[in-house]
Amino acid sequence: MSKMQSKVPIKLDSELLKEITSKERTGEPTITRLQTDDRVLARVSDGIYRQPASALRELVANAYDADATEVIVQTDAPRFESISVRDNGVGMTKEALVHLINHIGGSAKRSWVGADVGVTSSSDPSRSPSGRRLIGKIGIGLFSVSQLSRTFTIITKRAKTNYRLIADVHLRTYSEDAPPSGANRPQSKSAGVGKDDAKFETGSVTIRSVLADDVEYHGTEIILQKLQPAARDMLRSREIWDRVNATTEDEAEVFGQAFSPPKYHIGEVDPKTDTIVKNTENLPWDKKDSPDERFRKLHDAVIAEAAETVAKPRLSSTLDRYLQTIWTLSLAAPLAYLDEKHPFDLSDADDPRFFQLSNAPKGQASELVLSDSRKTPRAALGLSAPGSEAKKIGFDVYVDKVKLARPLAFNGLPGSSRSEKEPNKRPLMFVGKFEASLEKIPEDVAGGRELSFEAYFLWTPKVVPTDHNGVLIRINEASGTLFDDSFIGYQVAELTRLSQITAEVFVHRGLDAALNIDRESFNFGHPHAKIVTLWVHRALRQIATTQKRIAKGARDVRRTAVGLKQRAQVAKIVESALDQAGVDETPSVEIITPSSQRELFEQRKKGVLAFNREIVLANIPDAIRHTVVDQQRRSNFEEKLKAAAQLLEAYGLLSQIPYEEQQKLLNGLALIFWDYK
Amino acid sequence: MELPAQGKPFRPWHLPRKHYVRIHQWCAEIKDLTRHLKAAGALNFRPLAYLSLPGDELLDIRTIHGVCDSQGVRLSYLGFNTTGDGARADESRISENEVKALPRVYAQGSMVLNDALENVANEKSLARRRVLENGSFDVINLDLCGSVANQPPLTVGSTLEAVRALLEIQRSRRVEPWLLFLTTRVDTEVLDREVRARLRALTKKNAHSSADFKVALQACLEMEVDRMLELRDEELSQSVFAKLFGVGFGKWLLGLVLHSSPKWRIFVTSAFGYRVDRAPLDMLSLGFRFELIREPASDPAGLTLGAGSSVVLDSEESLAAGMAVAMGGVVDVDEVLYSDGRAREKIMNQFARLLGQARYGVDAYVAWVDGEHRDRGLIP
Repeated sequence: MSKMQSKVPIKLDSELLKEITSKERTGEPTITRLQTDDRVLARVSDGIYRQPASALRELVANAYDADATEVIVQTDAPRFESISVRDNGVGMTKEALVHLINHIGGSAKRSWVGADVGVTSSSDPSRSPSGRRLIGKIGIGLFSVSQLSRTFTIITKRAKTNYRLIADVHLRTYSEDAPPSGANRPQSKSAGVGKDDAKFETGSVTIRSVLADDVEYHGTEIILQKLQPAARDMLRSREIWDRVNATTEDEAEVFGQAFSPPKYHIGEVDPKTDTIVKNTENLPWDKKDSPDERFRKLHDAVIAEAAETVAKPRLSSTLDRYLQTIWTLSLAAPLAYLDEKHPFDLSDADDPRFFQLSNAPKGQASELVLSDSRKTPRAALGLSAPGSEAKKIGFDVYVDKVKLARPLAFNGLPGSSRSEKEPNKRPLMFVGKFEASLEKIPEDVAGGRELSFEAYFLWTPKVVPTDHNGVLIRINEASGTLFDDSFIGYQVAELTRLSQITAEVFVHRGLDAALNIDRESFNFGHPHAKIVTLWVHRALRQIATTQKRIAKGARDVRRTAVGLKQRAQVAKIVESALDQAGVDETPSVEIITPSSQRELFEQRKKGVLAFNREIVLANIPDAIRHTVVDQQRRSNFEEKLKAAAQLLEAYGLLSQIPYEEQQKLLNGLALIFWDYK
Repeated sequence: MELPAQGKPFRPWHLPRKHYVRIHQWCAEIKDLTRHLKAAGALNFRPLAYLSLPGDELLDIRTIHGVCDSQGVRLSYLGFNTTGDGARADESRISENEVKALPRVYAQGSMVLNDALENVANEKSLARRRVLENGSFDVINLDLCGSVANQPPLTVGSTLEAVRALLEIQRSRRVEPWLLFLTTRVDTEVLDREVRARLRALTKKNAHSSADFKVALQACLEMEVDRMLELRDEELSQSVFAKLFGVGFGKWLLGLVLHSSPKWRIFVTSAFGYRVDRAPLDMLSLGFRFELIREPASDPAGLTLGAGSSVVLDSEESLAAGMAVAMGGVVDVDEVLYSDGRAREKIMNQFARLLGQARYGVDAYVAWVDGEHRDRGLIP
């Protein structure tokens, strides 16, 4: 293969452009070798972007940057041979397409080249033609696609043109296990060319234009024709179905039960035929539901798991890979929130109690009192993150007839309460903002000296799904990083409290330069990232102080009400143990004889660890005798059992496992500690 | 930018007569149905649901979109088209990109599957799952290149099995009327012998049991029914055979939906034909309209009068007689177009515009049609 000297692109672009233009009249195809930078090629073997959600995220970002108002992702689920991503954005000019083809992995955005080829605003290279702040890197989008499919087609059209541009891309296949070598490998040093400048052929592209009579139409469609086996198997949840299908009756006997798929899934197609459905889908919505309703039901189904299956459900145990992909995409894309309700637009009518974060080094959060003239945190603090006005952005993303929204709601959260009797269960919403000119950092630092962001931290008794625990950083409304549950390496041992926080940081200016090439992680050495980290950590300290104060107040009130004398000795022991462990809140535990499963669900919804007496005390014959003495004996025993559960929960050992298993565990303890007289 | 047509070769289905069927059968009847559905409020919240075999160019969908546009309704489609990986797949992708850009097409609810319609009969197939996800359908258009019955009865994977599967899904899942269009080769060489015999037996039985049907059939075939029954299929004229097949096929459909609950009745709403190979009318395009029969609830205790006692259920014989009458009016499209230069020109111009959408050049089209017509001896 030939290694190309690099400074050619401009000439190469113009040559290609000339040829395409000269062939417009005949519709003849122009074939070119696909090239990419060494730097980008090196990522191929790193395996980044093999996640379908990453590639979809980048394509959706590109659509947003192209001023699209609607993106339609269609898959042939559950077969997943092909995926089409179609937007109604401005479409690509010949120049933009040529630039894209010649710079896969690079980006014309955020540079004046973008304006020259019609990708960005003519007055501001960091904005889309209509003025949206750019969120993607167009070449990265295509590069990520190349990781999912070796064959794909781009069809694009600009308004007021009578042709569509079509590019058929065929990538060379090389071993995915080893970095490209031999003929494909650059001999940069010997050739005397800097490594960053080297370019390599990685496939071919056929570009042609075809007549279009829909002159006004505009948009771009990218069709992935044959997904790479790895990507296809991932969307098919192959590793899950293989386990489900492999579980024989013998194995089920050995392991106690058969391996079951996540509760909600798209089903499985028989890999041998690809046309026969092997396992029928189980989706949380009905086929008659509208795209909005479908997403709402998906969200509600995940939340309901906290009452029905496990106290702290994870997405991976509830949804198959395909539904997880939808969920992840909805977190990453610049979309409206569920119910169009941005956290900054909540009011006193909503569940959370509001606090304002201080930017002072040793500052403390103060209660944010909302009034008629300052009804929302947005109004009170002058926040600007696009919110309920997100509607105005007018950016809708559909995946197979599901309309995505940010799957975050702020009312009726699991385990929370608005009751004044339980102030310790009311969600706390901390809001703050930061804006500064960074005089102290060098003038020439990538990303410049401007950094501004807004943020909220929601403390709630239980974050559901647990994947939402952490801080998610959005740059211009988009995020590739999702929730970081280490809170950017927060070192303070606050395990329980930290696990109760969901936070989002909305960056309006700066930080973009701190994103690594995979766009899914930050370079924390970058000055902007350092400032964000420090600010987040200060916020967490303020939240801890405030939440601790509220929890302690609530506990003191309860203790006084109950009266120290009346409290069982065992409860005192538990509280003392919890104090030592640094846990403020005594977990609520109940053992009941439910009239229906629903009764248990209701208790669990409130955040109570509710157990079915018949299961917890199973196989203890004495426990179910009904003499007065035995009832007293059982009651005392149950108190001890509840204390054991409280300790287990306080150390985070109980909530991770399904309710059914929790009950079996308690039953085991009961069988061990029951006094068999 | 000036772009000329890009040299795509024209194919037999680009002849004006096919477009005549699209306009005068498909569009006309879909327009009637759409009006009915709109009046009943059925299309207030959903698009018109259309299942078809759209080929690589989606010409049917492009045409029907015109009706939807004029009626102010959205269109969602589910297509079956096995293209493989080559040039046909390329063409299909571009066509779908164009069609989804049409203003009334509900893009996110529409797709062409790279799958065979026949798979629908398999209860476990992905094809069937797609039909169930998107159905029921207001219009099912089975525009076959070959014959609907080229395989013996009881053959797994046959087109007839797919037709039956679709009917079953439609029958049990909807209440509104719907349309079935069937385009099929009709000659003794491509229709399976046993299927022909069984359809003929249905007609024969009906002719013996119902005088009305016999009269209607006689008028339809323009020959004595008893005489017809004496002859083998191969001995009948192509026109008689075609009409006889149409009636028999309609009776088969009736048998599928009239006797099991919920019951549906069927009307042949139109019949068009043209010559592909052997003789006039060796290709038929039939339109069937399905309507649910609303049976009155009975009161076995005899406590109420009810309002439904006056409902008269259609008998199979009377519905079949109606079918025979409709088949008698089969329109020979070749004859219409080649006896009427103005009609031909009108439909040709309409179609040329549509072909323009599909990237064909108008001038090249007119020249091609003239050549074809001369070759086929249709015009001097």
